[in-house]
Amino acid sequence: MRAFLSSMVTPRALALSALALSFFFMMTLGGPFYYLAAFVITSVFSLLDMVGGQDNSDNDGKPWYYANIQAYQIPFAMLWFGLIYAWYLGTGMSDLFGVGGFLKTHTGFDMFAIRARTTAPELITGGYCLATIWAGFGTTIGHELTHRTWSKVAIITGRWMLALTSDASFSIEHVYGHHLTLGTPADPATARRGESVYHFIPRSTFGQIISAWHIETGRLARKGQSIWSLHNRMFTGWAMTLAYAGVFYMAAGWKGVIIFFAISWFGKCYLEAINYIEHYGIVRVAGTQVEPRHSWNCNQRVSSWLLFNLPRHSHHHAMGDKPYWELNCYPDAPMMPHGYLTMIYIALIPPLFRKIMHPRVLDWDRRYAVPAEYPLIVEANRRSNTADFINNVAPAE
Amino acid sequence: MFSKIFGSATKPATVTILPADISFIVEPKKTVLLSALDQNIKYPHYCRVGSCGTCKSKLISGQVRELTDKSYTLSNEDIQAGYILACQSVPKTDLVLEVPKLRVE
Ligand code: FES
Repeated sequence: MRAFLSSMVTPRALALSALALSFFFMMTLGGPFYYLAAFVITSVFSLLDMVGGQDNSDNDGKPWYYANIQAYQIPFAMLWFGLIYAWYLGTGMSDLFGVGGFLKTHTGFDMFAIRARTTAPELITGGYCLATIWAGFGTTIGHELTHRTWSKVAIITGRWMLALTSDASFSIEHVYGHHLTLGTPADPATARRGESVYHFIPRSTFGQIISAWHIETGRLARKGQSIWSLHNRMFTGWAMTLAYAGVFYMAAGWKGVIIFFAISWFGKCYLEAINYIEHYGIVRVAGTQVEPRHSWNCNQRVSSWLLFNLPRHSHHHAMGDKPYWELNCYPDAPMMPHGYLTMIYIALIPPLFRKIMHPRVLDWDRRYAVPAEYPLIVEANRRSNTADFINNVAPAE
Repeated sequence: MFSKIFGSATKPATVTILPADISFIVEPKKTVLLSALDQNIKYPHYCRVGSCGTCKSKLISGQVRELTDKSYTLSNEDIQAGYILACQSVPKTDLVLEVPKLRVE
């Protein structure tokens, strides 16, 4: 029992619970609290990330059931935040699913009064919060769960989470595509040398959808099932997104639908920005083992805690079957210079990103690449259209 | 009763690999691949999640419970020829598998 309690009451667990609770209040109270939530997301997280230092401990030793409770809480929070936001989008006395009436009679909390006071800038800020929360927590957990290919519950929950950002098919492409093609030209989700995040986001998004389509239709053909059926997980995935859009329609009509898709696609862009920084410029010979050196690893404490160890990307890619709490820190892997929460903003300013990452990519060439990868480096440099790379002779040295 | 519900054996299964003629024990609910790796057998593998096909093995005799849909990974011919993915297969009975790439050193 003591062991159980001490595993529950760790700084990490307490910090996350406090955070979850404060977001629960901010997103439910709405109105001006959206500003507070946006401030926390945009500035506080990044600041904490900068000063929070590294977490180089391996394997928390947390029992799986506890870590799973943490993971499975997220979907409920994601749906609640979405539902409440949709509710506030409604007008007058409309009461989506009777939530407002229920809370008013049982707790005295008056959402109708809040709605009447809410201004358009507050709603826009709330939409930004919802998008970043869906992308940062919903898709991270969606990613984690869809890796558990052996568990139906995990896959379905994970796909519903990925559908929040309009792309449940990520669950197909990521596991059966990206994890095999990482670092090769066949992978839409590996950022190429010299490519800006703004070029990457559409190329990667549509590339992954096309790739998922091929993988899924190939599977259906082998099973002798029709593409035009509910066996097709591309369609069921899109249907999940439409179901969310339907809830927003019930709440606020077509305006609600438009706002839903704006939030959902913004979240998707955020997710792709994370994809962008994870493998920027890295090359790998197709068909060879994916090694820890094929990802930019990051052990920044706050990023790892918030994003369920996703930044421990080197181990994740080398062993895709490991649940997040078993991921180790791999201090010798190629390192990202800052936490994810900082790197995303850096990526948005391409000259700054180049200045920070290009020396690291060149260092990767010297210290991590193996001779078989040299020709790929030369080719990637040639195509980069960037002086940093074209004039680089690292592989030849 | 549990074996009925979960469709897997409740006692350890013996897995024999041909042509190397290696045998090892798989504990209930564990996959063929992970059991082999735990016992330091160099079973060909790569992704461990049923997406690459490196661990494909021909099922000569016995039955397995499959954790994932192998048609993402294996071709029609492979499936019809009785191939399974070792990383996604839990033995229901003792097994004989053919894995040409697995060699004794
Ligand atoms: S190890 Fe990749 S499919 Fe089994």
